[in-house]
Amino acid sequence: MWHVPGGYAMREALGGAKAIVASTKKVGGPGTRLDVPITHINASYVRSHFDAMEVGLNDAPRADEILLALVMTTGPRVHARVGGLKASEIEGEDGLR
Amino acid sequence: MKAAIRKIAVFVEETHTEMDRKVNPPTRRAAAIAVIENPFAGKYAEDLSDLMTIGEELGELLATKAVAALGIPANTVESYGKAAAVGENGELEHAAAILHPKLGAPVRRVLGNGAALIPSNKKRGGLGVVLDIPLGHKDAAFVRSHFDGMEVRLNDAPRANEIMVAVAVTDSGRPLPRVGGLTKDQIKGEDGLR
Repeated sequence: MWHVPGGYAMREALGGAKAIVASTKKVGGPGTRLDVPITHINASYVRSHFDAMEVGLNDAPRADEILLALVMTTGPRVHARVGGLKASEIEGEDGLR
Repeated sequence: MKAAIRKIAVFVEETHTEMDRKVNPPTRRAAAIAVIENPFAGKYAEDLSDLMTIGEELGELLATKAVAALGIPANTVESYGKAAAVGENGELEHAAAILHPKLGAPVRRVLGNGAALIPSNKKRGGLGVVLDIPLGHKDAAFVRSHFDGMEVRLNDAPRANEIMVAVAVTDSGRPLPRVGGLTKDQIKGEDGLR
């Protein structure tokens, strides 16, 4: 239920973002912790924006529930300094570079 | 710099039934984890190239161990992922230095191929932190049946001055995939996406 609305709809809401929306999934009980992977919205290989955010709720998901999460950011990792493709170098054609 | 490894753990999961339905053949995935000393714990260093070299070493080591745990030819691995958890005296950027510049090439060398981005996660945490390793098809990132994740955890890692580094591989996608999208037999294999 999540790959279509979570990907295409979010990209549309952001004005046509190009990159694949990084994802993860698991089965878990209340309080389970979920690491949501993060990448640049227009070019997956932008190294400064490879990141992740941990989320969780003490009382969810119950046995008959699903916990869904979308994450967005306003910038790169703090003090990003391991090189690679920069956001300023994005060509923006293929969603990768 | 060589990695100072305190311990290595390897997990294999096989799913035989899902909602009382047989999964045949069972879906299988393996994660190999190394717990290493963080040479930059507790101080800011501008140049993180020592961690990049460690990433290169661990890419080969962990991919080899994970494939061996699955017990399949390396070139039949279907999806992969990587993740790192930095102990409390480290920096998120330390995980990035291990994971992104140099870890991928040796993983792909072990597997014989892998055109797609290796999906990744990183976090800082204490002993017993839960790490979700995202998974994606190794040749075409958009293969929907292979979007997945594997949770790993070690009760005694990472200590404050350690980093926990994980590589996961599978021989399959999710159990009973049925949400459409690009299938693995439609892979063109040119751009790593489709």
